[in-house]
Amino acid sequence: MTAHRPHVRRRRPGNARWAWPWPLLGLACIGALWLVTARPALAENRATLRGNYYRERSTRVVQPMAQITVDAPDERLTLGAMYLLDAISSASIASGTQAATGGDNVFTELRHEATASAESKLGEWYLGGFFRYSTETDYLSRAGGLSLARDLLQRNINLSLSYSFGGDRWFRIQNNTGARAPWCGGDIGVNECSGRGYGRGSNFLQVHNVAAGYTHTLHPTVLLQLNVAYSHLRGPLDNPYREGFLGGIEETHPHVRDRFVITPGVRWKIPRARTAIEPFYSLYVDDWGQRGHSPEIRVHVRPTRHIRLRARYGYYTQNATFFYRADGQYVDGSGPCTRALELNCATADVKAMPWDSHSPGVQLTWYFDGVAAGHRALRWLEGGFVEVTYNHLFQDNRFGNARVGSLALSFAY
Amino acid sequence: MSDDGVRVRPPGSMIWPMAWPTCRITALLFFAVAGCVTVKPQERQHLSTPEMTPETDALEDTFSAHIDAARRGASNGHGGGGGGCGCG
Repeated sequence: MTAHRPHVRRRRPGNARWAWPWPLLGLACIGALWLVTARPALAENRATLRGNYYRERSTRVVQPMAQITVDAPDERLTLGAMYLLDAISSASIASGTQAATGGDNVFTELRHEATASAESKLGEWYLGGFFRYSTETDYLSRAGGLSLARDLLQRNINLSLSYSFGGDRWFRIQNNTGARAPWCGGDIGVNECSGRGYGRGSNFLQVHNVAAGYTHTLHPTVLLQLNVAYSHLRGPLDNPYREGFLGGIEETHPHVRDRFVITPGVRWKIPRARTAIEPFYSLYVDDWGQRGHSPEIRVHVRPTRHIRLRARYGYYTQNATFFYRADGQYVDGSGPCTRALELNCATADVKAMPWDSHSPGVQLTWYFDGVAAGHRALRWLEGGFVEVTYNHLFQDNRFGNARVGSLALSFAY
Repeated sequence: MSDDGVRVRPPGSMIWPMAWPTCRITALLFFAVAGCVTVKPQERQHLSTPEMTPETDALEDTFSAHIDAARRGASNGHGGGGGGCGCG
């Protein structure tokens, strides 16, 4: 038996030149490429304020948000930051949380979300990355992603690819005490659930999302688009608060879900009519047996050069997941919910039920360029716009119809 | 394959039998229609307007995706993940 000598890695004499810090070399290459790329003519910084509003019978969401982008110094590097606040008020047990907290008061929850992003356009290449942090009383989410796109054939084709990863932590506000406990899914007891680590027995939800896009300019007035996206979710996927709907049984969904969406669409401009037509369609399938179809058409009209009107109509339909029972009769299973162990599953989630919706809407955008050109004192408004949107959702589910509105104000500086 | 020779779809494989025919048909249609037309830079003035630019609706779509993710099961919005449960 040979003696076990401690292994010490030694660098050979004269070998120091191979000890280049490779990440720094990579950054230096990107920097050099950035410097030699032709400088674009214009740089634009932009600030946007937006207020979103959603109202249905049991829930109201008010969402102010602010976004700022800075070209540093031009489109070769664009830095962005966004902050939004979700104020979600629920007036009924149907919205979930009161089933656990008890009481009849309106429940308001705040969600804070911050996103930092960086984009770079280097010749025909586009690079991008983002990090998003979102937190609320019973949920914590971190997500990051990278994207890559390239123009081809004199910008007639654009191909894009992106990947993002989300790591979320679920919690449940405990009945009456208000204490927060990790939530790992309805099939895992509160005492067996950990707020650390990942995998079964952890409250960690991981989301991998891969998307690819193809845009083709068919004609000086016609654009063809195709987007596909695939998501893999692993972790708790059921709502901790719906046991009230299920006679005390915890809602229990599978812990894994694979989702696939394909969205073809067209944008067609008719210059003589000052109109653009934008039909598209999304097909969704997943391994929970759920399918969704959502065709939509948008028509943009320019009554004047600086005003754009948009009318839209969207239809949405989904079928039920494999574990949804129309009679609502579930047994209190004691194991994981899978296709083979369907009796362990339970749901009162509208998302798992079959329903459909119709959503007409209108939008008005006023671009300030005309005002800015006409008045010297208002020249700073150039590139800015105000946008008002209203959509009405006729929903065939227990939440009923909904109103969705937004007001946006954007300035270039 | 089951004992009686009937092909059994393994659990969790529902996506691809559904999606592949649709994918192939859509891709064929796209590439058949797309052809090799080249639009020159000086012909792109109509394509650069906001109504022809997908990025125009980015912020609106972010909010729509969040609402959809809270209500629709067959939606892959907001990165495919879920939001909190208060609105679920």
